[in-house]
Amino acid sequence: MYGIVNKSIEELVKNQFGEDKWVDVKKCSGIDVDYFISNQPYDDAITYQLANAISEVMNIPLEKVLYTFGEWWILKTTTEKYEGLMHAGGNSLKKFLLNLPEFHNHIMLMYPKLTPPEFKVSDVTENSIHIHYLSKRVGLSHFVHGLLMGLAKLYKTPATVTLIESNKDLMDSKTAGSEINPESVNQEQSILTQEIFKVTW
Amino acid sequence: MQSIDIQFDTTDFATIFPFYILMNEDLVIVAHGPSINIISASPLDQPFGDFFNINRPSIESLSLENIKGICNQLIILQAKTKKNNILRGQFSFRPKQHQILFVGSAWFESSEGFTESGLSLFDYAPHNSSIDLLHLLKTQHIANAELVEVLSSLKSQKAELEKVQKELIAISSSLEDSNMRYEYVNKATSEAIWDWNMLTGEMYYGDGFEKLFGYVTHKQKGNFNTWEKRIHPNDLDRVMNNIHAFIDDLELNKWTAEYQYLKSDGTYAYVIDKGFIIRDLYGNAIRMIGTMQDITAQKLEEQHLRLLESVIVNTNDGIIITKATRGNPIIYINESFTKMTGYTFAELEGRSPNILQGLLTDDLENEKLRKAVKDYQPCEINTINYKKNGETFWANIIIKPIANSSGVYTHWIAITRDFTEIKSMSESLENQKNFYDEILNNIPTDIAVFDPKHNYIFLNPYAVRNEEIRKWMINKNDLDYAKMKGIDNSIAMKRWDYFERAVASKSTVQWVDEHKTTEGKSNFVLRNLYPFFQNKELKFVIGYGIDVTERKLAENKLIEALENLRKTNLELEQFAYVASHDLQEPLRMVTSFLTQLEKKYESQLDDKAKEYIYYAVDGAKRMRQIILDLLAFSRAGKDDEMKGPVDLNDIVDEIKVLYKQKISETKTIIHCPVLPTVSANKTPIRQVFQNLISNAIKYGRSDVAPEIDILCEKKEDCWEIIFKDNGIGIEAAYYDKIFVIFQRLHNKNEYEGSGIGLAITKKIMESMGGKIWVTANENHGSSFHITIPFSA
Ligand code: HEM
Repeated sequence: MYGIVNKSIEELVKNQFGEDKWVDVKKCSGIDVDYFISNQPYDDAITYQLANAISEVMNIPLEKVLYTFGEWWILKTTTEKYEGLMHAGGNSLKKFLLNLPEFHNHIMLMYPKLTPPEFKVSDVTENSIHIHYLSKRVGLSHFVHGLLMGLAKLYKTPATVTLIESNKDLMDSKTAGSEINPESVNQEQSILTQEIFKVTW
Repeated sequence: MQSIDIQFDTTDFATIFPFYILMNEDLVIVAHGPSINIISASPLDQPFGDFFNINRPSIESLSLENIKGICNQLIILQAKTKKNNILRGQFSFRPKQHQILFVGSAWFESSEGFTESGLSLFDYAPHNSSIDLLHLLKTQHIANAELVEVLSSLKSQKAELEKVQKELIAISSSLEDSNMRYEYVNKATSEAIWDWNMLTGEMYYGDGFEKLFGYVTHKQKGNFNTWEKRIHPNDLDRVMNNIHAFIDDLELNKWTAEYQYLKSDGTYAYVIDKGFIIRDLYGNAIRMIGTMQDITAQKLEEQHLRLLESVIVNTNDGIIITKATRGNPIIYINESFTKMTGYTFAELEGRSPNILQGLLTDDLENEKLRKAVKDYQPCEINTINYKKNGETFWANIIIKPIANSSGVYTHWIAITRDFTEIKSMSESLENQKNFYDEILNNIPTDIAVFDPKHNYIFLNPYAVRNEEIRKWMINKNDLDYAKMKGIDNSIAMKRWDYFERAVASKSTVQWVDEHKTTEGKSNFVLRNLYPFFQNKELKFVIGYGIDVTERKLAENKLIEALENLRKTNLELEQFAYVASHDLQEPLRMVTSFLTQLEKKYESQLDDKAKEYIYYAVDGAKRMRQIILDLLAFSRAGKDDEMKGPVDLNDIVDEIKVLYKQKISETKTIIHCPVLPTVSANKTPIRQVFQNLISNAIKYGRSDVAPEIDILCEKKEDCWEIIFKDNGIGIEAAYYDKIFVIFQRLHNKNEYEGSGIGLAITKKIMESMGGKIWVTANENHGSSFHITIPFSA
């Protein structure tokens, strides 16, 4: 994943738990990178290791870490760094979500080596929408959950997000336990995760 | 030129080119794309020039011709009302339609400008990636900013590294310099130089360590531990704490300590160790260099002097030091001298010691002193001196001349001792000794002191009257005495035995010796041996004997009297037994003849005679009962039956069976807990239980059924069993009486019986070592308590 992701994690830790904890997390993760550069691609494993390390150092379940990171990504990272892009995405939650399928296409222009997620929408009603999340990665369901909640907050729209369908059960055998095993991801190029979230506001 | 024919309707065209502007040859806007309104209000049929400037390229004026001239170039338009809104695109002249078409898209210098413009992504045609370029730019910006940050952080790290490097170079070069210098010093000095590399722990030991302490260090290398190990254990903690505190205190750079240091020959040298520390710029200690100086000689001298000084200051003798010049002016007196004479130093400074002499001072002795002073000879005199208040005292004075290093006498020292008190004390000591001797010689008690080997070291005259023998006995023992006297040594052996017992037990032993006098009388002496220990070591044994003949005789008499009493009692009991036994026979005769008389002469006897016979028979019957009871009493407690375990529960059960009829007649209730098994003779104990239970039934109140509570308590050395009844009770005045033989409290008609039961009970209880007594219950009745010893 691009450095911007890891950098965002770094800022999240420093901001929420303090500079010292970042040192601990980095030590615990075992990664050997001093600085992350946003437009530099890094091995996915690094991102997963960081997430696991936060969970361990701060004694927070991994799911919670991912969820928090999702919210943080929307409310802090993207709105601060790509305010224009986020605004350009639409002026309401619904509009933004309707445009979501196009969104990472633009991002791909900025980050040529992106392995973006794919989003599709269906079942659009006045106050709900189904977001189909397809990814070549696994284990990021809670991250997506956080992202969607973050978007609802960004548009000041009280909303609920529920995972209504998932191929995770299939995936469990590959990810083994609550820890994400980076070995099992990254190499395969086909879609590994397919989930449907229902967003209601 | 081949042409392609593409037909657009307005909507199509507007979708593909949302930012197009179409104007006529008069440069009036005839149509425009949907997104143009966001860039600038652009009403149709209004002149283009009212709303837009052409920023690039520059043209002289806005005219059809001029615009034609810049067709197919990059055109930059600026909205007149919103100067930040820029359109990039190109003009195209359509000769057929007489129109000018502008196609292009909004352009911003930064993504922020885009945000401000109010445009959204969807105001752009999907094919148009100019806005993405903007975000790509933004991405680049972000990355650049991060790189700048990384660079500046690297730069400051680099600067820091350079600083450290410079410091290291400076330090190492200064170290090199000082190393050289210090080599010279090392060779030249008589001190032991050490150099401690605190980073590696290595320690360099200079040549001085061999010279001063005898250590030949291999290549003069060692470590901190080598040094630490050689510090005297008494000093170690102090020195270690001290040096570590020093190292930790960044303010300090010089260190000194005094301690004892082990030499290679195993002795300790007093050293003074001085060092300084080198720290890097962060205050980290990196090196310490110092020298050790052997100050043993100084130290010993100092100690010696201090010792001498303390002797002078603290001694009880008065000390004066004078100059050896004329008049011998005083330059020092110690405190004891002030105490002895009352003079303070201020009063004596510069004056001659003559001031202490007076009328009574012994002239001869004084002359001796004067002569000695004149000849610079030491001298000792005993004379009377005078205190400040005029009192005299006996002074023993020793004077000695003192020479300086070149042998010239410069001072006198005089030591004065007041022996007035010693004089009188020795007198009083003598008196005291006489006093004690007097006591020891005259006390009517044998006193002897033995050494640990049982040899006499002292005997008083009462112990051995003959002075010659007494003296002979010293350093001899009782066996020697027996041998000398040619007498039986059994008493001596016995004493020896007690002696050893006293020593072994470390406590006094006592016994009584019996001596036969020449007249054949017995004398009794209570002997005591008291071993005296000091520091757990037997010093001596003190023995003394007290004549207890009188006491012993009285005691013997008492024992005799008791024995007589016992015999008399025995005889009495025997008599009672025999008497009651023998009385039975004549009594039976009386009864039987009276019965015969009544039968045979019934017709001849009148009623009065019959009544008399009836009374006579009744009396005889009662007498028989009394005799039987007497017999029982005399036998009580004399059972020859073997003692054994007796289960008291069985006894109570047997009694219940025995009194079955009586119990049911009187409706008596007996409460009984589980009783213990005791060691006793069964028959008498059953007798006791039987008596107490039957009494309780017998002496019930007429209006209520008797109720007996048997209670049992375990005491320290016995069982206490209580028979609590609800009967008529006993007045306190009779508590003792009821246990006396033939005492009845009640009319014989009211309650049957001879009144001997409780007397028997008491006799049995006492013969088995137990007790019996009675107490009153709170409401009704009384409680009989008996105790049965565990080991009767
Ligand atoms: C300015 C806004 C955004 C930027 C710059 C951005 C950028 C990125 C980048 C760099 C990655 C890492 C993928 C890689 O490096 O291979 C990523 C992943 C992802 N993004 Fe975004 N993103 C943005 C907004 C969003 C939004 C609004 C959502 C949706 C709710 C979203 C959902 C995701 C998800 C789910 C992933 C995980 C990738 C996966 O599942 O394979 N992102 N994004």
